[in-house]
Parts: sequence; structure tokens; C-alpha cells
Amino acid sequence: MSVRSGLLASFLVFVLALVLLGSWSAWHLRELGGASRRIIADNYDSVLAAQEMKESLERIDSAALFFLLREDGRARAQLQTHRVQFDRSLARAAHNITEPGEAEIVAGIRALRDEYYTRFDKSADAHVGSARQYFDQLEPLFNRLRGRIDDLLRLNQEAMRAKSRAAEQVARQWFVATLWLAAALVVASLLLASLLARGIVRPLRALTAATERMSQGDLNVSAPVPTTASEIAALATAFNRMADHLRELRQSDLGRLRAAQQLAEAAIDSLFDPVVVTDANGNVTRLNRAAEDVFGPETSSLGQPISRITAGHEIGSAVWEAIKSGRATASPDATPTVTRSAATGAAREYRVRTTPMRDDAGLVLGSVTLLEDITHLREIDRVKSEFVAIASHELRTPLTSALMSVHLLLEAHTGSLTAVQRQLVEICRDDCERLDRLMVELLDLSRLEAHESPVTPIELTVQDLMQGALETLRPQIEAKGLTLTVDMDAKAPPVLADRNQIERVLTNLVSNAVRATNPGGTIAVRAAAEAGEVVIAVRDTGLGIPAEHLSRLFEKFSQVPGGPSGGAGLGLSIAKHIVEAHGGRIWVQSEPGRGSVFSFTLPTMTHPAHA
Amino acid sequence: MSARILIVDDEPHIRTVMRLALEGSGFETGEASSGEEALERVDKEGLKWDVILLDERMPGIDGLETLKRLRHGHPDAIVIMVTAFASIELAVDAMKFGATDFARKPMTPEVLRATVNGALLKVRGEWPPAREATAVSVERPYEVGMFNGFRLRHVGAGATATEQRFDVIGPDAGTSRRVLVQFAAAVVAAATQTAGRPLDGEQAFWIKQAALALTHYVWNHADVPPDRLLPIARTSADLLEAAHQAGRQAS
Repeated sequence: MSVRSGLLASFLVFVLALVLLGSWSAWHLRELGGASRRIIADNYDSVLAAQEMKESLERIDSAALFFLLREDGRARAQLQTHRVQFDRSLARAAHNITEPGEAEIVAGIRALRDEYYTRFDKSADAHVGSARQYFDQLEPLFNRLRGRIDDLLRLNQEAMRAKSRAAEQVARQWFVATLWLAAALVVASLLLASLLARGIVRPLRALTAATERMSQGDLNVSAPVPTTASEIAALATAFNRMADHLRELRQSDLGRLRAAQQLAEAAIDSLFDPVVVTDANGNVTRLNRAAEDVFGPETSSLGQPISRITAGHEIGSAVWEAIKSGRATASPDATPTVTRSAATGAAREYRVRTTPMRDDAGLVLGSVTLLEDITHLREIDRVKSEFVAIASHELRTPLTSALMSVHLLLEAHTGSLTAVQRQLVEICRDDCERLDRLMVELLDLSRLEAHESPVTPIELTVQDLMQGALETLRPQIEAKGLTLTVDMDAKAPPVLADRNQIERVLTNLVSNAVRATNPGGTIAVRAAAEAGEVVIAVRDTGLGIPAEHLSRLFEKFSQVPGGPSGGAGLGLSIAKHIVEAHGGRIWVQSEPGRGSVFSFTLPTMTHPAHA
Repeated sequence: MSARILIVDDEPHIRTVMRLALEGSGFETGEASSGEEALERVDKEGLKWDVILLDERMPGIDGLETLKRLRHGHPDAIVIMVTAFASIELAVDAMKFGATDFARKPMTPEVLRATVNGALLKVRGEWPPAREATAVSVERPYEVGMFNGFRLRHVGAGATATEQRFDVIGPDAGTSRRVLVQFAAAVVAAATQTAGRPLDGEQAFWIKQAALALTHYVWNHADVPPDRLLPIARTSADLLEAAHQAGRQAS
């Protein structure tokens, strides 16, 4: 049964009940109305007729008296009138015979009337007005007739009363019955309504409850499907289908999420380097396998503040720095973190790198710390230092006696030498000194920064690039009594250069120039655009470089014999390396006695780096 | 001057050339081929030696140990450590053991003589200045150390804290040359980045680094830098380490 039909049915029932009650009432009302009508129709007319007859009789009686009083005229008139009336009324009464016995009474009245009329006429005609006649004959007849009429009257009156009583009783009965019926119908309707309501409301409530639970997140609900209320059943079925679909969806979503999470965890776990993930409060949320080796199992570390897990290391402060500043931090190369691997007990050295994690809105979610294993790098460093230390001693010891010996040979107190011997000894001395210098540079190299920092060019005007470096070098130049001239072409396009590195190149070229030039000379630095490139040139009025050395000038450890010493011999090779890293070229022009020009190019936006 | 110099080295060649070099200048010399032998001689003959040239690396008792024991018995013994140290930082380590004078192997006879003469100033009480006392300041080694006969005296800053001036005294007491040590912007930048805070105004830091750099130069070249200018254009691991320490201290 559907809700619709149920509602319709109950409505119909209610309507039927109303109709029932209404028909019942209407019928009884009609009945009652009929009863009244019948009373009037049946009896009231007879009563009226009887009363009229009585009145007419009275008048006829008085007519008789008139006759007695010799008022014949009046008597006759009245007699006539009222006889007619009496007859009429009697006819009415005769017409209205409804009660049992009424016919006999009416017949009796008629018979008496006839007798009375006859006696009356006789008396009237006799004219013997003797009162005695009247009283002896007419009056008894009159009384008997009147009595009969009264009988009729009484009969009808009683009948009326009886009928009225009956009607009253019927009405009362009907009233009670109606009350009962109404009550019964009300109860029935209420019952029906409540049944219906229950049939609709209960499943609706159940459905609502299920929906509510689902909205809270519990997808394992199912709504009961009522056997009645087919529309609600349909709704419940649809609801259950929806719940099923949602469950499936969530499973697949969860499945996908889980798969993705497992993938991410596997990726982190597969790293050989320890990774520690924290939340925005610095509490550990994840340790990969390598980190567990170092810091202990993840289960005991989860939720702990990072500094407690990695006690004694700088990781805690790096994490806080990263979270606070929102920028990646790294421990300096010089001071790596040393940890002991729990698995093997071996000590490994790590460089700490912490990066903050952000969500799409830029809010810091936490941090990821990677411990970069640089143990073998440090090992190499140590081996290198050890080698250098040993080499310096081992190589230098024999050189000591050799160097000393040749110097001593040239001193007077060890004896004089022939010219040739002196020349040979001087050669030996020079080369020993060269060996010494080479070793100094070699050992110096090892203690200076081994790697070249990458070239990070930005767009700069030539003035911007060179101004700072040149002003720093000016005191040095002028201290030697040299003049520095600077010529920057204002129309030269901006160059792509790493400021620090080009400063180094400039410093090297200018220092060389200063060293090569005697006081009173000039050092001219010029920057100009030539054929789309920017060329920077450092010109000095110094000693110049012989042609045969020009080609090897930019190689490592190159020294020009007879030239100014004191440099490491590396400056030009480094300058070349830097300029070429920028994509430029470096070259030299020189004339002994006149001076040298060292030039290099830098790329511009329109003339980008050469491959 | 006929000062007496004891040469302690396990290499016979080196003993020979050193002896010849010193005798050529009129010094009296003696030799010992090991730390033990040197200590024996001193024990037996007493400290008749004005200066002891002590090789740092020898089999048996090494130079530092010999120095310790020597000083134990003769606290005012004047000892020059002869070493092939590659960098000055190792020398500073030796200073913790009370060494203050150093000569670098290999050296020329002139450098050897200058070093010995420099050490003899101590004998005559002319060097070091009174403020040195007996404590060796490892923080400011340049103030008390003599390297290849050269000593440094800090004069003051240049235009900025990253430029420092020193008087370099040597090879003899009368020669003093003023040298400017200058750190390139790139070096200052690298130091600042390592320290995590600006260092360009830190006088103490740059004085020490400049002194170290200048001492290093003198150690390797036995001379002042050309044009009395020492530009430092490259960073060294030790400078970065010092910068890292400086950064740590501030926080």
C-alpha cells in the first residue's frame, strides 16, 4: 500500500464516516420532521376541526336560544352559518381519520349531529318554545354531541401527545445513538489516523535518523525499508543505494590515499640518508628506516619534540630555524653532525639540511630534515690533509739541505767558484727555489677552498659591476705612486655577470698590473661595447711580457722568469676559468718595456654566452 | 757575535748545511742527532747554548716532547722549532706547548741567520716586549711568535674593519715595514654567510684573521708581501671555521 492510497483511503473513510453520520442525522431529522408533520397533519387538523365544531355547536346552541327568545331572524342566520361551518369542520374531521376509534367517534358525531339537526328543526318548526323542550331534548343532545366532539378532541389530543412523546423518545434515542456513533467514528478515525501516521512517520523517522548518522560521517547505515508506505520504501531503498555508493567511493578514495601514502613512505624509506619529518611544533611525525637506525625506532620517537630525539645535535635548532624563518637551513660544511649508527655502531658524519614544508596557502606545516651522508667526503678530506702533511715534511726535508747547500756554495766562506761553476750553482739555486715555491703553492692550494662556487649571473651595468672593486683597489694603486684611470662607456649595455667572481678577476688583473708597473706609471681600466659585446681591459705601463710566455700565461703555476714574483701563479688561470664560465673570452697583448693589456668579454642580453 | 747554537736534527745533511751556514756568520755550533741526545748534552754540559734549533719531527722523542722536557729543567731555554708545517695553524698548536719561535724548512741561509738573530734578541732582553710575560697567548700568537725571524705588531684598522695594518719587524731588529692586509668583499661575504650574522664590523675577528694571513705569508715567503699589501681574495676552511665559531658565540 502506498502512502497515497493510504491517505486517500483514510480520507475516504473519514468522508464515509461523515457521510454516514450525516445521512443518519439527516434521515432522523427527516423522520422527526415527518413526525411533526404527521402530528399536525394527522391530529392537529382534527383538533382544530373538533374545536371549530364545538364553537359552531355553541353557536347553534345559542341559535336555539335565540329561537327561544323569538329572535328568529338572527337565529336562522346564525344557525345557517354555523351549521355550514359545523358540517365543514365535521367533513374536515371525517377527512382526517387517522387514529383507531376515530372513525366510530366521527360516525357517532355525525349520527348525533343528524339527530340534533332533526330535533332542532323540529323544535324550530314547532315553535313551541318551550324551554322545557330545549332543556329536555335539545340540550342533552347538545351535550352528547359536545361530549362526542370532546371525545374526538381528546382522542386527537392524546394521539398528539402520544406521538409527541414518541417523537421525543425517538429523538432522545437518536441523540444518544448519534453520540455513540460519532464517538465510535471519532475513535475509529483516530485509530486509523494513528495507524496511518505510524505507518508513515515511523519509516520517515528511521530514514531521518539514518540520514543524520550519515551526515556525521558514518557510512555504514542502512534505512529500514517499510513494507507499507511504498513511497517511503522507495526513498529508503534509494537512500540505501546512495549509502552503498558512498561507501564504495570512500573505500576507493581511501584506497587511493593509502596507496599514495604508502608510495610516499616507501620513497622516503628507500633513501639511504636519514630523514626526519616534524610538524609545525617541532614534534617528530616520521622517521625513515635510516633515521631509525640512528635515532631509535619510530614508535618511541613519534610525537616527541625533535630536540629530545636528537639530543646533542644541532638538528633541533636547525628545525626551529627553518620553521621560524620559513627558509631552508643547512649546517656549514665545516661542522657536520656526527652520529652513531645504532645498527652497526659505526660513526657517520652528516650534513644537516632542513627545509620547511608548506601547504598551498604558504602556511608552515612542519619541517623535513635530511641528513646528508658526507662521511666518505670527510674521509677523503682527512686523507688529503694527512697526505699533505706527510708530503710537506717528506718533500721538504731533502729540499732543505739542497737549497741550503747551493746558497752556501755561493757564499764566500765556502770557497770561490769559477765562472762556470757559479753559473751552474746559480741554476741549481734558482730551480731549488722554484721547487720551494711550487711546494708552497701546492700546499697553499690544499688549504684554500677547493671548489669553485658556481657562477650566478645577474644583469648589471658595467659601472655597477666595476665601481666597487676599483675603488677598493685604488688605495693600493696610489700607494705605489701609480695613477688609476677609469673609462666606462655609459652607452654600454648591461652585462650578465656574477659580481663576486668578476671582482676577483678584476682584483687579480689590477694587482698584476700594479706589481708589474713602477711608480709613476698608469693603470687604465676601460669598459666599452665592441661589436655587441662588452670588453673590459686593464692596461698598464709596466714591464710587459715577452712574446714566448704569452701563450702559457693563463695556465696554472705559470710564472714569468724575471717577472715580479709573489703571486701564487694561479691568479690568471682562475681569471680565465671565471671568464669562460661566464661565456666570455680573456686574452693579453703585451710589449716588453711598454706595458700589457689584459682584456676580457662579458655576455649581454643580446649577445648571450658562447657555447 | 759568537753565540752558541745547538743544532738538533736527525738528518745529517741538514745538520751539516745548518752548521756551515751558521759558522759562516761566526756562530759557534754543536750538533745532536736526536731529542734524547740533545737532552743528555744539556744535562751533562748545562745550558751553555744560547739558542737551540730543534727539528720538530724526529724518530724517538719528537721535537715538542723534547721542548717540554727541556723547558722543564731550563725554563728560560731559547728554542727555535724547525718544521715543515704547511700552515701556520699547526704552529699555533705547537705554541700551546710553549713554542714561540719557528723556522720553516726549507730555508735559505739568510733566513736561518735572521731567525737565530731574532731569537738572540731574547737573550739580550730586547724581545719580546715586557707585556709578553711567560704566558703564551694562543689567541694572539702573532704578538709573541717569531716566524722565520719576523714578528708582527698590530697597528690599527684601515678604512674598514676588514683592512688591518701591521708592522712587520725583521729580518733584523732594525727593519720594520708596515703592511696592509685587505680582505676582498667575496671573502667577507662568505664569512658573514657562514657566521649567520654580519661580520664586517667585527674588529677582533678580522685582526686575528689578518694576523694569521700575514703570518702565513711570512712563514711561506720569509718576506713581506710585495708592495706591502696582502689582498686576501680566497676563503680558507679555517677562516670559515672561525666565522662559524664567531656566529655561534654571538647567539
